[in-house]
Amino acid sequence: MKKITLFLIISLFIFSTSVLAITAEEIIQHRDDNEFIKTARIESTMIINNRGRKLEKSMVSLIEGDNGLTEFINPMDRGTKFLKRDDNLWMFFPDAEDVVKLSGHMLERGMMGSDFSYKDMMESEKYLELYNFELIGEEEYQGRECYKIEATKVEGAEVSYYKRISWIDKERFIGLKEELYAESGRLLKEIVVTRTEEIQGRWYPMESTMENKLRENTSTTFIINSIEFNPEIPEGTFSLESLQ
Amino acid sequence: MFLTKLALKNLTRHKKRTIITAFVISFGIFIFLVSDSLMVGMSDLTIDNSINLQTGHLQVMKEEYWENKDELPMNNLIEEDSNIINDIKNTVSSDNYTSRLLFGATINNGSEDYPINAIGIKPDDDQKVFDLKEYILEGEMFTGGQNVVIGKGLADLMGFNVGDYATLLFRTEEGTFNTIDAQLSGVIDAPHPEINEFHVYLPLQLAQDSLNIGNKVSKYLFRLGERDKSITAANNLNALFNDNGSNLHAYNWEQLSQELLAMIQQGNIENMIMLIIIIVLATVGVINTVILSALERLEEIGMMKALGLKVREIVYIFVIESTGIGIIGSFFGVLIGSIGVYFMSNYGLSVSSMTEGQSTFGIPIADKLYGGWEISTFIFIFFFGILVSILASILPAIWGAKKDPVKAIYHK
Amino acid sequence: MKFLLTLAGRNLFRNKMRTIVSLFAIAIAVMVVIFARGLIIGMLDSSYSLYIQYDSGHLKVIDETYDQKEKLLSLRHPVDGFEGRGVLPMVEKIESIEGINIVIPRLKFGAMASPGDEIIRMLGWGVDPDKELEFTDIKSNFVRGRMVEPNKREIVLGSGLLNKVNKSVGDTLTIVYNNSFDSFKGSTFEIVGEIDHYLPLINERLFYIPLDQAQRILIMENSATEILIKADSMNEADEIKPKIEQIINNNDKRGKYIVQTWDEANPMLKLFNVAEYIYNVIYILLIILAAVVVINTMVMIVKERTQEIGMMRALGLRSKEILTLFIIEGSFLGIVGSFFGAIFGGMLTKYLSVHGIDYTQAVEGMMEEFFMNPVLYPVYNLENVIFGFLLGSIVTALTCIIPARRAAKLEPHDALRNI
Repeated sequence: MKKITLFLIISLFIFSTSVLAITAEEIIQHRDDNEFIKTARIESTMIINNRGRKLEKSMVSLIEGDNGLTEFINPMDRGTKFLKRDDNLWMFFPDAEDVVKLSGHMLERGMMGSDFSYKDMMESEKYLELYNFELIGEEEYQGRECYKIEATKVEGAEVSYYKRISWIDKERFIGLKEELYAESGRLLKEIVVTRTEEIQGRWYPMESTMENKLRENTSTTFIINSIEFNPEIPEGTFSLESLQ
Repeated sequence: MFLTKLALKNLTRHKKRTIITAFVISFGIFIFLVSDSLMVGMSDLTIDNSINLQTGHLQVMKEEYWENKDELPMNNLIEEDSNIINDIKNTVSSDNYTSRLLFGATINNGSEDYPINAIGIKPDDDQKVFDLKEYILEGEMFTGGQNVVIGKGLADLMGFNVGDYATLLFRTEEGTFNTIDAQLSGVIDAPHPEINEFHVYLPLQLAQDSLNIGNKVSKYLFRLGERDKSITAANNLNALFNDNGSNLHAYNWEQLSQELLAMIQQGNIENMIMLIIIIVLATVGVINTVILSALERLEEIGMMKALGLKVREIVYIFVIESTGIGIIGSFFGVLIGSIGVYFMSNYGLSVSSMTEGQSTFGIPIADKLYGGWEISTFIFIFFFGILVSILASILPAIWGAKKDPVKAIYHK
Repeated sequence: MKFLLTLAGRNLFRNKMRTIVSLFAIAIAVMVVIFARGLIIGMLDSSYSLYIQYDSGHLKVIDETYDQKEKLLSLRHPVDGFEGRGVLPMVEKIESIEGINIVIPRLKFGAMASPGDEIIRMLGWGVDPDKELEFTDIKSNFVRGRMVEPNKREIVLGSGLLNKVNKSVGDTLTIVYNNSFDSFKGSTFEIVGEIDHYLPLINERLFYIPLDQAQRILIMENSATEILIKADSMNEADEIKPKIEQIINNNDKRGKYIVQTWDEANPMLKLFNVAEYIYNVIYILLIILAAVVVINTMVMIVKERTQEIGMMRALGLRSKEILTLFIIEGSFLGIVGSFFGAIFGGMLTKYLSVHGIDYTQAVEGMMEEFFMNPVLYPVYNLENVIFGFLLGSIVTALTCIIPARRAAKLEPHDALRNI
């Protein structure tokens, strides 16, 4: 009897310690899982501030796994769409007859004048493959206890930011802040989540701002106005034809 | 023989006439040579600026790089290989070589940024090919470390002074952002707007390290003895590369600067037109002189005919005289012309007085225009002067020789 | 005095050959001097012509801030007319200034095409098609098709660029760009023409679309990024600049525009001042040569007439009178000769300024690839003609004096000795 109790106590102890010894990868994975949307319809707004000049864009996106179709609905950009299928990106403009494929250097441009480039967006889906993670501590941020994780790029990986430091809410596994660094160690961009919401059991970043640290008064704010999970997505939505 | 002697005696007898006619020829030649020299000097100045600051005489790079060179690509770079470099040096007979790494970047002064061309150089070697150092306005060229040298236009635009720090933002070969915080060690003011406004020079090592490309460079650049050697050198090199199956390719200075070449070509045509005008004017002068001379000597001609000389022989005398005058005129013309050109070649004309003190040029070196020197021009004009003299004299001689001797003598 | 005049007249008529030869020399000399000047100005103009046509015009009107941001092809500092009332009325108003030949608007912007996996960076110019053809030399460089027409979604590219995007005349091309609101946009145009030009800029980077189309797609109504101005010649730019500034100041109180002359707009052109100086030096040398030719002719004549002078002295004419005689003759020859020289020189320059000197033949044999249009246009200038005329007259008149003086001082018997 005593042996079993001891065994149970020891197992419990081991069990609980192993639960506590969560790895950096696991944290990131958990965060990504939270933020990953399998199927959804999202209405969002992007506010671009470039040295004091403000532009506002509104979009409606349909997402299904690795595919996504986004259409701009603000007056200036109405009719412009972009389609993402796996690793490919196409854009459609009302004034153009054919669809434009974005590749190479074009992906490095800021989306719609913002600081967040298409390349950054594509990269964000593959963090675990492209970076090596290390849990470097715990810190409080915005009143929340956070894991502080440092990600350094895997050698040879073709990513924009050499190093990323993330603050992830320990309880909710949602990223609250991220710093993006150049290879020289210079801080290039800072992303701060300013509003989160719990939707269907998951915590989701609803409003975040990315600040360009090299240019004065330059930032991009991304606001999710509404999310509808698992909506009806018609067949053939993610095809080039539907773009035109 | 008798006729020839007579002709030559005539020349010495009427010294004034000889001198006056020869003078037109001499002066015409002098003007011609000086003008030609100036024009050659002028185009040299333009070409040299480009060669000394931007292109060098010869560049070697991979063919694929050349095709995309405007994008300052990070692929198709060259691994510096001293064996190949030595081969090249031997083929072109020049030790003056340097390598450079070019990449696109943004320069940032803390609040604003601006797209520029960043060029990694080794200052000691670079000096053998380019004159950049001569145009440093403030500060000095770096020797290494985290330093940059930028053009004056850029410095003014961004508000940089020597000693300030600038940040360069760019992507490495893998597309990862990297920055260099460098101190401005010098400002260049060169007669080349692209350099002044878009170039940032930094130590090659620093560039290579920051881009993570080991010891690769974009191209090799060479300075040869003379720019005329550039084309043959490039051809020889390309033959060598072909034989070795290398994908390197050599480009001569004309290929490196097509716009310049277009300007030069046009300049040459214009120069020719000017020279033709000078020749026309001088020829008119000679013709006039000869005609007047013939008019003056109608009596003499009449006398000669009366003495039994045939028209043919009289014309012959005149032609010999003209040849003599032509030789004298050409000789002195080329002599004075040579002296004039010599002075201009060696001492130059000060350019700063021309541009009314505008200091875009910065330093005296670009300040002087040197006369050009080409022996073929001298030889050409020497013989041309004699030719004109002869041809100009034939018709008046024939006209004069055909006149009725009686009328001729009584001409007065 | 009347006696001397008559004598002078008779002298000139008596020795027709001499008179003709002198007139010929003087006329040619004056003609050459006038023509050379026109030629030199024409040559300088053409060496600058590239920049004048494609970069700075003789004068340029831009927004003050645009100057610095030009490389960035910023669309935020356009020329939108007087008090924002539209660029075309402003173009018209400036064109009406005396001395200005033609004014064009240009809307420059950056764009890209990506036909395959490559991205091709291009420079787009929204232009007034007819005026653009007048302002630059591209008309003769069309190898296929034609220039774009206003209000149509048409585009014209250089051969090199067409090659890069793998298209030809008749195809459509989709370009992507950022409009003036920094929105990433794309538009499709029909390729209606192909240009083959020696300038890499035109051949490989540039495309033309109608101004109204550029304004539409970039959302820059009634604007352009710059206005370029051509006068009769570059030399007049400094004179005309204040006139333009005045019109602008009278019509627009915003103070946002600056007027730049060609050398202010493009500092490298200062390098060409050296060329100007050289040509001026050569021009002076040419004048000296012309003078020498005239002097030479006159000297020979006077020398020839030493006897005649002796005769006149023997007949009782005083030195002063003989001198006056020669001056009258010289002046007459000078004025008549210069007059004809000026007329012919002026006519030649005027004619060639319109038709140009075509040296294509000369060039064909010489060079593999001749870049420039081998046609040179001298510049006709009335001041030049008058200058030539005066120069010829004065030089000739003066030239007679010295030898005449010397001859006039001889004792009659010395002078007569040559009989």
